[in-house]
Amino acid sequence: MPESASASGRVEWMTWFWLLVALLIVVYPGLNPDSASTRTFFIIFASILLEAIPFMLLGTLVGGLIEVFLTHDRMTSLLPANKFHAICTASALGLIFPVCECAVVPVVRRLIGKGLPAAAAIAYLLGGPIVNPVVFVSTGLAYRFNWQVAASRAVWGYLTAVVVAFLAGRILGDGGIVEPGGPVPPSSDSGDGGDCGHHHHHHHPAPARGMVRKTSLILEGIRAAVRHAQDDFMATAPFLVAGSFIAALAQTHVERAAFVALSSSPLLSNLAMMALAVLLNLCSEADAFIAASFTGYVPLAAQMAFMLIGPMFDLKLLLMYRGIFRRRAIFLLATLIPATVFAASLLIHLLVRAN
Amino acid sequence: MPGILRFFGRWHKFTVCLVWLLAILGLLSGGRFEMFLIPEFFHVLWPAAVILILFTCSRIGEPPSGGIVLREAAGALLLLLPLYGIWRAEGMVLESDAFNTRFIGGLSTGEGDGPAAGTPPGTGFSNQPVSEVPMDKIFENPYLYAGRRLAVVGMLTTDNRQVAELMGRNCPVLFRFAMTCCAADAIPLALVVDLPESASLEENAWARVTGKFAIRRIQGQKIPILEEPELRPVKRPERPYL
Repeated sequence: MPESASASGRVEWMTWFWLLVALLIVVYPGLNPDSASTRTFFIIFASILLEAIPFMLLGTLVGGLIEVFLTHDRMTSLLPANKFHAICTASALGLIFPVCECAVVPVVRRLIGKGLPAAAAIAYLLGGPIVNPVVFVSTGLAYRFNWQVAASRAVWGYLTAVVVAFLAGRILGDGGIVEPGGPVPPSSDSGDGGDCGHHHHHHHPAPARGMVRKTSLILEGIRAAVRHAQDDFMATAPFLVAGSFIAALAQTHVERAAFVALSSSPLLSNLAMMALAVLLNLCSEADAFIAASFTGYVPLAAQMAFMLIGPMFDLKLLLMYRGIFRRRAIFLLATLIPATVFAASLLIHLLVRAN
Repeated sequence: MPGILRFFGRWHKFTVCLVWLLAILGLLSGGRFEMFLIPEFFHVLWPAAVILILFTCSRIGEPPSGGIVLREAAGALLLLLPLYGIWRAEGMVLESDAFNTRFIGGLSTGEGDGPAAGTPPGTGFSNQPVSEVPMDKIFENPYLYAGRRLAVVGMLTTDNRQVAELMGRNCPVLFRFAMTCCAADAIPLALVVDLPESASLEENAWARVTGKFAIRRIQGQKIPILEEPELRPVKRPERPYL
């Protein structure tokens, strides 16, 4: 796989990081193998991974199909030319393509390669896991059919995604968000042509002639899509493993009651619940049930802050974003997302109080 | 050495996908995955297994590659290591350690400030015979059960700091975890067992506790309690999570 000079530094960093995580996965349980906390750690680590891996596999397969069957021109024609309009549209794409935060990462990785503007990619990445029907229903169920909470979450999630994507695009520009040329190299398996950037060898299909040729082309395309999907899985899943390891450590050792103790003021309770969401790394389809369990202990605005930031930014996602974005873009997102969610949660607090 | 690198370069993706495929098939057989995930995940794990079969097959017949770079080797290693964790965790359930980390106190499932419409507290239940009720059903509408004598199955802990602070003594707690998707998001449900501090109980033991269900308001919190309790040890249920 050809790697640019700027990318080679990143590769080294990743390699050492992955080896460090691998070492910790071996060493941590060995420190106290029969303790209760080690047992809890193993259960949580296994649960987070087994919950996320199927969705990630599905996401990589969709990404592979996008790579092979969606042309650059088609991608460009699907979104509005105006950048802000593109961001607004991409933030709501989850309504049509509902995805959770683990599945959306490999999909966005390929969409960027197909010409999706980086700011619009951020909009889909952040908005998709919140602004979608599955999350809407699960939030409503968690809050005992209080659809107002579910609708508020979708609306504030949408607004947060638009604001963060717009600001990130303005501050860094598309070139400053992803590596030049995109997070994945172009490939001749796509409809775009170009040199094959992969180290493996594809059977490049001959031009189509007749029905048999067409079928053969489609089958070759599917095979190529599966290989792309596998490449994406191998590239992004180690980030998921590393993130799940850190999340399991946090879930094993961080006491939730300590966060409730900080609920004396809206400022503190919103911040505390945001921090808790970042540490717990829950799936966007399940986090509303945890948020609802805090009813009566922290204000609704703090619960909303928990549900807004979790699907956009947590320890696991922070690592998975590294498979798409440049380091400075991740630093910017790590600042913009909490700041915007915090501002949104304060507004929600004021609105709740006014009513 | 170059031969080994070529071998790994050619087969590491195949190996990782094949091993994960076998692990998922192993978890699917006999419903072993239910120790980590809700039963409905059966419909999610099967498609994942099919995708892994596609991944594995797509590498068969591939021409040899030039070798493996260190990053790919580290990534493959990182993808294989969690399988050891999954293997180690098989058969384990979340215990009091996880309960103490997750429990935030009282009635903590968002059930509001009072009885649900049309269900006045404890109406006419006190003289009815004892019935076994799953803990999650109690928490869905606790006021429906107030005053009623219930039998509830769960794990016991005698070491919860919050309950001790609320009750003013070290009261035992009967708890269960209710899963939404997986054990990582499981919510603890708990009933205080109104036993004297001197009662000797085994930590994390499964028990069937029979007692009169009450909701006491202590320090502004609503505390669900089983009064006049009788304890009987039971085996771990086939499905430990609710």
